[in-house]
Amino acid sequence: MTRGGLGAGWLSLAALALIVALCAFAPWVAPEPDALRPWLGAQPPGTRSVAVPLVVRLAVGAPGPGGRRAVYEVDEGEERLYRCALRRGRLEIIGPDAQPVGELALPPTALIFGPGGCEGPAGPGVLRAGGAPPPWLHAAAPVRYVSIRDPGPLRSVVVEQDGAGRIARIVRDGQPLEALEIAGDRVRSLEIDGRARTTLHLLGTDPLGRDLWARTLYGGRLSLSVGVVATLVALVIGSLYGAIAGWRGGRTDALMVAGIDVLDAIPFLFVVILLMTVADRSLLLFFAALGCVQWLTTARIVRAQVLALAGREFILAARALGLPTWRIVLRHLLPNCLGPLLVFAALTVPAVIVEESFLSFIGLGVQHEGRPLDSWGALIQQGLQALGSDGSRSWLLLAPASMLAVALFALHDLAERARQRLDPRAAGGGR
Amino acid sequence: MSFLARRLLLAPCVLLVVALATFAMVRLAKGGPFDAERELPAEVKAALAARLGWDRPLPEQFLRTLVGVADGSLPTLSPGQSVGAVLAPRAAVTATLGAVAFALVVVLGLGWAVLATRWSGSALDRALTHGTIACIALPSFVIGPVLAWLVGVRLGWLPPLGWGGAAHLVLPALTLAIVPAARLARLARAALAHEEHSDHVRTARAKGCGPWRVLLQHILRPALPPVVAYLGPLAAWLLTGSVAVELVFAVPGLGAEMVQAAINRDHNLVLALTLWFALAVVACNLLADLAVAALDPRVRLT
Repeated sequence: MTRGGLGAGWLSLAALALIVALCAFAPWVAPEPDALRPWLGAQPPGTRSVAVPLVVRLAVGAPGPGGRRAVYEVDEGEERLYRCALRRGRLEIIGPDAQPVGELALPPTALIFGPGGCEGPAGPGVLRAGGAPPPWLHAAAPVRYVSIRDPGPLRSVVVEQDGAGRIARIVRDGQPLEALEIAGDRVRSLEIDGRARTTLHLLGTDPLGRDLWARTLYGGRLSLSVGVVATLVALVIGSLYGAIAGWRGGRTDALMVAGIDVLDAIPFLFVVILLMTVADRSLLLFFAALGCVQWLTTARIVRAQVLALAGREFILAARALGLPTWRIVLRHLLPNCLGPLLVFAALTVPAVIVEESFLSFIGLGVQHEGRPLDSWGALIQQGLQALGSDGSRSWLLLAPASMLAVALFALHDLAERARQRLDPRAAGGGR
Repeated sequence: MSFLARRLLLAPCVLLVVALATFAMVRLAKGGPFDAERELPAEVKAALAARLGWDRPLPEQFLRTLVGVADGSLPTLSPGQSVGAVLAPRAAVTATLGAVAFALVVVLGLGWAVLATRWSGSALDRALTHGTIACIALPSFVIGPVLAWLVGVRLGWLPPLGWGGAAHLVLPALTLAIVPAARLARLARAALAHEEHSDHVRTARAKGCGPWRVLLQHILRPALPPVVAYLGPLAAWLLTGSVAVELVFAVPGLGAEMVQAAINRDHNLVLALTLWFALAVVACNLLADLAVAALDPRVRLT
């Protein structure tokens, strides 16, 4: 192996370790992944936004935003609500004065409101009555409201806290108040003890204003853990099956190998897709299903190793000593299969990650309480959807795609190096 | 048992296992296509079950499903549309895309390996060793969106999505072909390198055979069996791998339909697709096995 090759190996290892560490410590290195800021919309990497929740609830005696003295600058501009409805497949717009509107120009700050509250930015553009409805208006969502705010005068809300972090006083424009609710999209700035409180969006935000860096790291947690756990499942099932087949030999072996042959010829991805549609897509099911796809090769490897080892002297000695079969298999046979097994495991982890991401990509990913969990595949799919017609929101696609690509490349590279170390014949044509 | 008989026996076994497994999964599952929305009246459910044939005994259902998949008459959730009517036009699209991608894989992969062997140790050869690893690591649902964004949208050279003329074929076929072409190039390069130093090649060189003739007649021919053995599963892989590609590029093929049917819980359609894909995979593997046996007589003895 050349010195340059060794250097690249360290590079892969470092990249992988960095990604794993970032994903593992995601709560410490990234903001909250589910914090919605619909008024922000999709913003490019490096944007800063005011660190406020969707609704700021302040009350005397309740926990405050931190620090001693917090100052919110609130935009109290007028809000106009337009009712947009689908009428016989055409768009109908009713203005705030209950009169039909022919044309409605949407500023970038226009927000859509549905029965469940804010649903995100309406996007800049022009709506025409009688024309084709915008994408957010369809049969399942036939009535929506668009809120357009004209910027108005800024009012400051001062919140003073006691030493225990509880709110002692709320003052708006010199008037003391008992409680106050501020919509997050109206807060222009937040200063705590004289320092502006903002969130840095390292990789930008998605169309709902969620931090992409945080989502990518949390998605990586899911992808990586499915990769590792499903690989372990595959190793356990495969080694047991292979060890039994190789150890028993004879007719049992022939039957078990025929079983592997049959299973190997099944297009498993489709069976997994089918499984995902008929079962609830819990994390446990993913571990089991993806592990079950991968165990066949493990079984073949272990069986071949066990067959080769079964006739060796130390196994003969173990049998002559009267050791029970399980002890021979677990203590003497399986440890001798570890080398090839480890290389195979190193190749299986990226394969499982790809399968999990693929399932997420096609919309059949892991669900938790009926809600799909973020994973690299799902983020790539959402990024592709949100690219925009001119492809200007490329960070939404490129950030998760490059994270996944780097992780997969590093895993492959390391596995390939390990294989070449352990098996000099496999050194790809002598190089 | 001879090689051929064993292979021919295995194929129906596989199909039967797939059919039983998929049928059991669909029938034993709790969720049906009508569960998510509001409750349906009992007589509507009964009528739907009768139309889909779900009110009959399970063994009869299984046989009817098999027959219905075979002749395409199995009803889908959409009224009046049989499985055959839904899938036939889409099968043509997927077959076209798969065939173009397959040709690309063979030309790019084998061509690169042959050229790298001809000029062994050159920059081309080194690029093969190092460049292909990067390609192998990337899944099609990463390559596809990035290509669609870069070539289709930013540069605007090719249509980023849709189906129509030859221009629409380029990006999906390329996305499908990159990974298997890289794998094939590595595999073929290793096989060629193995043959390059064998005795018969040295003899041919010693007798004054030209470099191209040695390469194509004496090195390539014995190196073909592993390549062909890879191409069989590859044809099947192009079918399965095309799911993501068809979704990315909005190609109206079987893979996109599979995902849509799965999300709609159109169990009959998913079952039919799974069985057809299984048949394609088994047939491709069988063909590859037979081709390898024809190319390399030693295989037939094992």
